[in-house]
Amino acid sequence: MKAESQLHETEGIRHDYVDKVTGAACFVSDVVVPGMLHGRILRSPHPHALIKRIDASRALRMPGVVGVLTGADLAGLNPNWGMYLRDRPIIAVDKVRYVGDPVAAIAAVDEFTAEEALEQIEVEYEPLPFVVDAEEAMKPDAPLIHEAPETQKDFYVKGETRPVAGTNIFQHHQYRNGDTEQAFASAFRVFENEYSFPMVVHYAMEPHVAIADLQPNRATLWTCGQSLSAVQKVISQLFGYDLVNIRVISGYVGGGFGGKAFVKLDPLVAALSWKLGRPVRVCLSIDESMRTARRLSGAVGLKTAVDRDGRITAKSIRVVLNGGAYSDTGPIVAVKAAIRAIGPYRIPNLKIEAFGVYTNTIPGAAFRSIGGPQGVWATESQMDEIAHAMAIDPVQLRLENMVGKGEHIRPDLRPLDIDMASMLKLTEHELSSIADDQRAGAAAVGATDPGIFPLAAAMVRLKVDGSIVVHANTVEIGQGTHGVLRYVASKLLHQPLGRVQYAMPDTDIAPFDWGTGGSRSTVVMGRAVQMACEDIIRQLAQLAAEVNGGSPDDYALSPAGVSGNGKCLSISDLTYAGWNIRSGEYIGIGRVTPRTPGMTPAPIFWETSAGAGKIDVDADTGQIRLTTYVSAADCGRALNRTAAEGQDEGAAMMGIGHSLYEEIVYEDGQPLNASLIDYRVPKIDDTPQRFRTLLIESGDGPGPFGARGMGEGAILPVAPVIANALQRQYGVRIRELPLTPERVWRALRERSLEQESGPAVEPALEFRSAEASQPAPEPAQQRAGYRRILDSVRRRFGASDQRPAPQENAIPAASEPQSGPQGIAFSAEFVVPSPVANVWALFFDLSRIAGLIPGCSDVVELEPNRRYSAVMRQRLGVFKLEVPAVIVLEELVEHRTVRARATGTDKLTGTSVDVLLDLQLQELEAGKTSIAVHSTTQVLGKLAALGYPIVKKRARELFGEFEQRLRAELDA
Amino acid sequence: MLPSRFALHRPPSVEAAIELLDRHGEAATPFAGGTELLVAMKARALRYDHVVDLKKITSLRGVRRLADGGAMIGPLSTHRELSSDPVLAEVLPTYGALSSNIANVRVRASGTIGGNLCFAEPHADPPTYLCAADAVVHLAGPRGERALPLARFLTGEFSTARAHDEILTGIEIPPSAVTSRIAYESIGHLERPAVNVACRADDLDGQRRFRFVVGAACGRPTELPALTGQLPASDEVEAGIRIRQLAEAACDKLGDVADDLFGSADYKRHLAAVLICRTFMKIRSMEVRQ
Repeated sequence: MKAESQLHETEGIRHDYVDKVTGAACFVSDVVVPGMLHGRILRSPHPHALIKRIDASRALRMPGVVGVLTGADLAGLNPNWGMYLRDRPIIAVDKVRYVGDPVAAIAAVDEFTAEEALEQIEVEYEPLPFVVDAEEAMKPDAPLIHEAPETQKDFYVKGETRPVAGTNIFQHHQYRNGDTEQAFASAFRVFENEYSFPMVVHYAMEPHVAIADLQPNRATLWTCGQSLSAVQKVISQLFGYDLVNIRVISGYVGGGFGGKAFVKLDPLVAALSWKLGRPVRVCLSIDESMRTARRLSGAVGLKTAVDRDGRITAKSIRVVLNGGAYSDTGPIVAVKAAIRAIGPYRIPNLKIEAFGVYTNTIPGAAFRSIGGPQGVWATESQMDEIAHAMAIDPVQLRLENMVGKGEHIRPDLRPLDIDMASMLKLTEHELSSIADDQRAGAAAVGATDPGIFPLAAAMVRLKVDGSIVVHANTVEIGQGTHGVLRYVASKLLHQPLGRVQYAMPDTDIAPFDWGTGGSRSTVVMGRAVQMACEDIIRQLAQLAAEVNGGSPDDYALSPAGVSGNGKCLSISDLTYAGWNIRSGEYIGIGRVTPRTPGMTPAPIFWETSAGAGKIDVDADTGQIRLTTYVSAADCGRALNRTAAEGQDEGAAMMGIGHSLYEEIVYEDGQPLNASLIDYRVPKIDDTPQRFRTLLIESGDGPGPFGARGMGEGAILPVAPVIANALQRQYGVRIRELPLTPERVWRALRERSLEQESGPAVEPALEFRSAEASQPAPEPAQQRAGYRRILDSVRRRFGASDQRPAPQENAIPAASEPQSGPQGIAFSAEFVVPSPVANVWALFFDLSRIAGLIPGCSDVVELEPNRRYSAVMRQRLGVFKLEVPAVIVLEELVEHRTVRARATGTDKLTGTSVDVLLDLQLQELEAGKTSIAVHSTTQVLGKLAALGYPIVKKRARELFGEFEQRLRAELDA
Repeated sequence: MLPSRFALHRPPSVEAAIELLDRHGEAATPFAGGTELLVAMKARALRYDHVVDLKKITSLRGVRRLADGGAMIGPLSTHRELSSDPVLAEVLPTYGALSSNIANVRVRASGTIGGNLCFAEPHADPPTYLCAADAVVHLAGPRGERALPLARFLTGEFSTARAHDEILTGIEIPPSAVTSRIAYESIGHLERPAVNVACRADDLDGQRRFRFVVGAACGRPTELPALTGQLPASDEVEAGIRIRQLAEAACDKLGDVADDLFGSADYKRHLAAVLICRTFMKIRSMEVRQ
């Protein structure tokens, strides 16, 4: 029995749209459970610290506060969970590992009360050395972030990770095929480059939210997660429920992009409910979501050997990914980044080494095409570099090396199932047909093996009136999957889309599904729904044969009903004929497992993408605009063309984000911009003026009607397309993302300095202040200024190339205090016309010294020459800080050294301040003393999170003022 | 992300608002559009027991022409209102474009010009332009009324000369600004501007005088030494090169510029120089068109 289908009739496929635009759609944050409490989370201001003490007694005394959860409550459990490594506690136990790590959670009658109560919790920390950079974290003397976490093999995600004991390396993956060393030795040319990828966040519009109700024998959770069964599994592991006694329910989800993959917030909310015995809801803010998960950042080093014609003979890939404080899915992301750095190319000799490394930063996690943008950015940049160096057309170089459809990229993986050469040529052609200029464009391709586990089941119920409901735990995260799965049922069971419902995911009702992600739902769940429909069709044909005679094979389902043997009966009539009643339903079950034909070997399908584009660069400022962009994907069959195009466009737009704007910047262990105030995501204005998606429908995918997974691939080529266009149009190569205007400007400036030497121009205009005219700059001086700019290239915000600038004419840059890795540093050395004894006396004249410290008052001696207390008041406009501080003299050598440490916490914002001040005195000659001031200041908490650059600037200004006052006092 | 508990007051008049601010001292804050204040209050970096909402005071809205040819901008006018205000368009024809590009549509719809100036976030568009226009701010408080130039009102990052019990009642545009030409450019790859420049041209005693105010990169708008002299009449390119050299040199001396997320200090000084050239050329092209 065969189903006829007319594709591309998708009117009404997005049944969720009306609900969403009218506000009727129910997201988890809309769910109200009777008796529900509201939780808020207290987070660590320290990048790495031991928790010495938590005192929540004042919070618990507040009216409306019901309870608090801290690590101490988990004493009876194994509190750790994870996908590959059980390295993440439900809530911090004894130690915090990043700024934002949950330390305590309050449940109260409403969110406001819970938020107020957080401020009443006292936490005493003992700061530990921290590390935010992956390469630094791999060094033997780096602070160890985890002690031997427990590994889990094939627990929920396939495989296991290989941590290196006693180090921060949680994954060390190696792969070899052929003999790379020999190939490098005999190569025509070898190219060796490193490409770095920024720390970017998912920024789904809906922040993480969860509700948990843990009763003694039954747990119910509402999750925004992308995998209900993963939540079920982890909650079962942690709290000991049978899987069947854990019910996980999903609503609509306002975007995930991997930030909600598997498990994130759920165990913490479950533990609150477990402790208090009441349902608890926790809904994060966007700032908190940004501190919950992010893409793994890092560097991909490539060594590629080519022969005389540009054919690749060997490639060595070294990936070092920064996995943050907890490994999550980092182990597989690191491996995928390396595999995706191979590209769709024939590599006879291949060597891969991938590291996933713990650091004291936001935990890394899956993100749209895991590891893909990191790997493809490197490989597709280098392909153009090779082409450029060998004077080969970059598209030609790619085509020369490209694996054909049916050929292997790696012998252990499924052969490539897409004709990528045609896809690339089509993309190039489309670019030249839509572009309105002759500037050089650039192209890039990406090939990924989605990390899908083929385990899914669906249930379809056909009612006697022909209406249908699909039960499947695929989560609608905005991608339109519920529409697609309804569409599959509608086509196969010949009912209009409007009569096909989708039951919202619920583990009590729908069967197991591994999860929504990795572009798997259309293929894997689509197949399960297809099989469920075929099951129903078999039942109908069987019943028809029993009622009307003949064999089931004689019957077919059509819009009119079941026909065969000369008769056609509607579903209702057939039911009546068979069961003597016009009621009841047919239930079909569809199940995909790794044993289902076509589901092995991995990947089930290749998700590939080709992109081509043109850019405009404002050479004066370095601003890039992607003006024209073509993205191509072979989706096999577009079941909802509009949604498929939208997915492809959305992925490309997301690629613009990490290419041009996005990066979480860390300084002194603090994320400087983990909020939407200074973290810029692409906006509608950033859409290329000419923007095309080419959906290729080769019809040979493994999903229903020949569909293939899609929606992630288009993120891959964007960054290399832009960087390659920059090289082709402007001759500069940048290997660091994002391509901020400053990085581009520096690269352009350096290049023009290599070339230029313009004639001096006599100015006819001049800047003239009222008092005195300023001399026009000498051209030589001006060039020296540019040299100085280049000298500072290595500074963090714009460094693009490590090549040192030429030294002639260099003017030494004014020495500027740079902050060390562990705080805001200030140093000054000066000589005062005062004998050392007088200087020393001043330091211990409390009223005089207090007068020299800006904002310092109420100095009290607690213990002579040892402990003092004081109040530090600072003000920046409306922002005020009042810190009662304790000052301890840690070291005292008369007439020589004072080392003092001042610590305290602001009363209003909880901002904590820790200042280490070191003064060294030396008597030079009679009546003269040299004073060296060194200080390190740590500022942690709200004000630091909101405006660290300003805090830093202010701290330095204050020390500068102290220095000035001290000099003035002693000069007098 | 919920603010601490506060009492909301909605006084009907400036006098009533001042009385509330006076009575509650530093525990009270005036509140207009809230696009900056509420963000800080929700983050609990700021907290007030009393929030004095000024939006009921209708006299603080709109733009009116003054007898001397200048104009008075009501501080409660939203950015969106000012982007298409017909009176303002007469007085400062280039301000509308600035106002319609501030932040995003939600900020423009509720954010006010007065709130923008009083919060004194340095990465803002209006202060730079209005300093070039020699705007004068009018303040009213328990000790009476006073007026001072905007350039002196803004004292640094998040800092102004406004006492906590004073209210900004008007932003005056003097007649001299009406007869001048002002061009404005802003740049940045984040949500807020990294650097912006307003260029103003006046003819004084037969001499063309260009003034430049650089903002966003520094704690408050900073005026550079004026540019005087004659451009070579014929060669635009030549003029561009020369102004660029002068601008680079002037911006090299720009103090109070720090490395931050918006860019390194040297890059921002360079951007200021680029924008000086662009605003300068923009004014030239305005004149050519007429």
